[in-house]
Amino acid sequence: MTNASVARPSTRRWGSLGAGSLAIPPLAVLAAFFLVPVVVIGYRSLFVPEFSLVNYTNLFTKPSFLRTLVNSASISLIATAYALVLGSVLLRALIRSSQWIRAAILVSLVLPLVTGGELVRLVAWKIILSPEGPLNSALMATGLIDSPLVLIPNRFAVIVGLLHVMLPLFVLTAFSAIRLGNVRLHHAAQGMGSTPLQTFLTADLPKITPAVLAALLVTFVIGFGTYATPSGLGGPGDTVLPQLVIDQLKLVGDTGQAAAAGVLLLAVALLVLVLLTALGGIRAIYSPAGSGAPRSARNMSLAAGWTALIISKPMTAVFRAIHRAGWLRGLTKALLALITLLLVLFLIAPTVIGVVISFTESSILTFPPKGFSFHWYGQFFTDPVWVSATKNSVVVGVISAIVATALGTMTAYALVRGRFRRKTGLMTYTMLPLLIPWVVAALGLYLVLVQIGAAYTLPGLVIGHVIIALPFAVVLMTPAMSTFDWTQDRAAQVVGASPLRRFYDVLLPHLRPSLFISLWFCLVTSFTEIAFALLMSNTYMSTLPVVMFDGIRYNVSPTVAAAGGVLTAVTVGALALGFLAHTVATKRTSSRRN
Amino acid sequence: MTKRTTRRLTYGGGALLAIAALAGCAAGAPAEQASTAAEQASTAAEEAPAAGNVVVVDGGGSYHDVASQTILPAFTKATGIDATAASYDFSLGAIQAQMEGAKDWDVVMFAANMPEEMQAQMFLPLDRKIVTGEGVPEGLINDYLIGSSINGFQVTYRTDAYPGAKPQTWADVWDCDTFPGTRQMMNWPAGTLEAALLADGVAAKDLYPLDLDRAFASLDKLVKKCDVVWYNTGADQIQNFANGVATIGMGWNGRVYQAQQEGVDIEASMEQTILAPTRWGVLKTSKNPEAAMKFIQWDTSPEGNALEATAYPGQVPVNSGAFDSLDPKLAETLPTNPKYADTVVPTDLAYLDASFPAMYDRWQTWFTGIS
Repeated sequence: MTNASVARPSTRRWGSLGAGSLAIPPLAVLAAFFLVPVVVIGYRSLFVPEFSLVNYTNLFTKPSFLRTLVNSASISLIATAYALVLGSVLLRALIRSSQWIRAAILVSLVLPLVTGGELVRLVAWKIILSPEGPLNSALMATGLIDSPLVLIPNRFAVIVGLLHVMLPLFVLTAFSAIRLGNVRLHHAAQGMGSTPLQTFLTADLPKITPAVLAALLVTFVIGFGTYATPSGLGGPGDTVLPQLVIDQLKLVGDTGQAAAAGVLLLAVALLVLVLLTALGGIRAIYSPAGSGAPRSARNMSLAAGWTALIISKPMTAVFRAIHRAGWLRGLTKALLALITLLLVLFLIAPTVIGVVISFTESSILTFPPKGFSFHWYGQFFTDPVWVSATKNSVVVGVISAIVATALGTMTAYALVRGRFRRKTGLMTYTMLPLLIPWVVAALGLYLVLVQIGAAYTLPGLVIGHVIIALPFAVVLMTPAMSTFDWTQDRAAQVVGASPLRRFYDVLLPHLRPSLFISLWFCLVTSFTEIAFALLMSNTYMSTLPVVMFDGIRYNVSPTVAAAGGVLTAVTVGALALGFLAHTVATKRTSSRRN
Repeated sequence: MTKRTTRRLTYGGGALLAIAALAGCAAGAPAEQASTAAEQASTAAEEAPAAGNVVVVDGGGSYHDVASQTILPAFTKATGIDATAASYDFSLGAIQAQMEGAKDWDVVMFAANMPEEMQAQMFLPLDRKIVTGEGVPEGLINDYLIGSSINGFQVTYRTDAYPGAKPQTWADVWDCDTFPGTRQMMNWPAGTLEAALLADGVAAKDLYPLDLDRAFASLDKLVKKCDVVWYNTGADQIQNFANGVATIGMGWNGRVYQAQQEGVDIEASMEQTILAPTRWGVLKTSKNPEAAMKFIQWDTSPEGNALEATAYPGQVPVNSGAFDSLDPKLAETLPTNPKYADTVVPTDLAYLDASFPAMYDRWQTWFTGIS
């Protein structure tokens, strides 16, 4: 903050908006390919088949719409609540563990998000939870149960399937935001004789709360817009509103009704967003926890009251008693370690099962697989349909990942360095594509692309994937940008380095790990997303997820599992390389310092 | 390192410029866009295979492979007309998108039911001079669509579950005392409502018009008495049997047949097979309607139908003439075999088409209310 006045002359060269002007290209892209399509959808909801509000009155008078809206909300709320509770255990482990355990936990968190996508994950969960699946077999073998538990299809399976992605999303988002907070307060409190629990409650908890809120927001809205997991793992009582949107589109051909349901979904998601923005959640993503974000007087008094309560004499006595009960602490520690281990197993199990079943000889997927063969891998690498789809996916994935990450980096720079109001507005705006069910956004974009002749082309698909990957890129790049020590940039500026040179030589090295993660995340999003891909592909242009979708819908072809296996191998390989490179780089840096 | 990074960023910058250009384009006046779209469409047409080619769109999966490798080449050989196989997910959205956009599909395999006035917005009227429909039951033909093959909904069960008396009828599926085990039924009204009425004692000839109140009451009894899981796709149905999620329920004859070949231990009753057709139609945006009609005629002829049934085991002919040349052992498994004429339950397409929107609405309300 102190060097802001010094930096002013140079930023003025970028125009009156300063660093904020870098947000203009991402804003424009979003406006053209996200807002315009949403407006088109809104228009259709009112004017198809002719102008009337019937599409909206249907939503509130037909029981099926209301029930599925309630289902969407409750499923997402339950899964988010579990993500919060279980995620806190993982966050604690991440913050406290050694480098290697932390790396192992991070890998287990990243795996569900980047291997094979939703389709392969669902197939794996169906097999794991089935009466003759590995989980029931293991429980029966240990004698814990006599007959298989009914684990699927029901609400339990839906929550398990959702948690499998929402837990990593929550933990990764919260972790990257929490890491930014400094720990000075922590030490101060400890110095004053608080127990560790008191320290956590008074010094750490208020600081990480906005980050956790932000992570909860992201987790909730993604759960709210999901449909593949509830429809794949759930029963009739788990039908969600986005599923009805898709049914209206696919089975009834009623775009007006589908559009109205899409608008309703967007409205509810926006409401949650506004609520959390008001609570300060969204700010945590772009502004380091507790780094001088001005607090309102009421917040201050709340925090002061909270602290006063925790360090009050009677409470302190309680905390001291807990602290002195060593056995209790030991038990808690052991329990938390056990939960952490089980969660890591939970996170990696579907990936492992998915790879194991891909080596089956049969064309029906079961566990354990029948025989052992590379047949389906052979099919994946030789079948012209799979080969050409994979090539298309690589092209679309690489280009959209680069574009989305570039736009995300620009947004992050504007958020962190720009001096303009309404940063929260900018952040919210870039998060919008996450909030609306992709199938609705895809339909809107499709209608726009048809008008400009870009439907059924690779660039058309790239545009779609840039839009949905952009929020991830922003969330991943912003923390990296705000942890950068900007005095380095200032120093380079003083010695006369050009802005470009400052970017390459000063900022880029710091951003590199986050850039790689962002690129990979965007790439995988593009590789596994089907809503846009299904609409944008046709007879002459198909991509990997489209072929995978086809394989799952029709036959649960093991080639899909093989494709998932290849994606897993590539991901794990890239992660291992990245970790090695990071370790080497850290060692080199630290030895240089010594 | 720096050099490589620079190049990578340049690519990124190039793509960014392209996006920005497109963004500018989108912000322009809509009137200008129309001509651009037309230009683009004509470019797309040039890239597509030459005229005289028919693009035949199926529902994908292994049928698609058979269509592109065996069936369409045979059609080309018989008629001299080139044909390309494409596939879609049977969704109306995809058809509408196709008609608003690329317009490169000609013949579409259609699995939905909709009123004829909606069909009229999508399909050209069948040219009955070309599509004679000889040998195809009249009930499978209307102004726009003609049956392409039959999906037989059968009482299907895991063989290991019922070593004694075997389930035969839909009433047996509803009887979870005699035939215990989790049921699986289809999350779709057409076919399921018929099964519910048959289970409740309605005779096959008295099914239509469907007594919806009675059908849903019968379904209520089923979900109250038995454990039921609901599948959305044909793939789920086989996975559910193979992984023990369900032991008895509604199977699709083609899927059941293929699963049996794969060693999945299931059996299907030949009693009360509900015959649900998929149909061919020619899209209004077809650039080659005459050749498209010729394909439909060839495919629904005894020869075309017999080839479909042979090349894709489990595919059920619509044309009874096909059975003259079929392998007797294969014919035994096909529900439209004249020998099963007394036990099968044909669906009334005219009724289902006309009443589908209301029926689907009621289905959604009932289905989402199952607790």
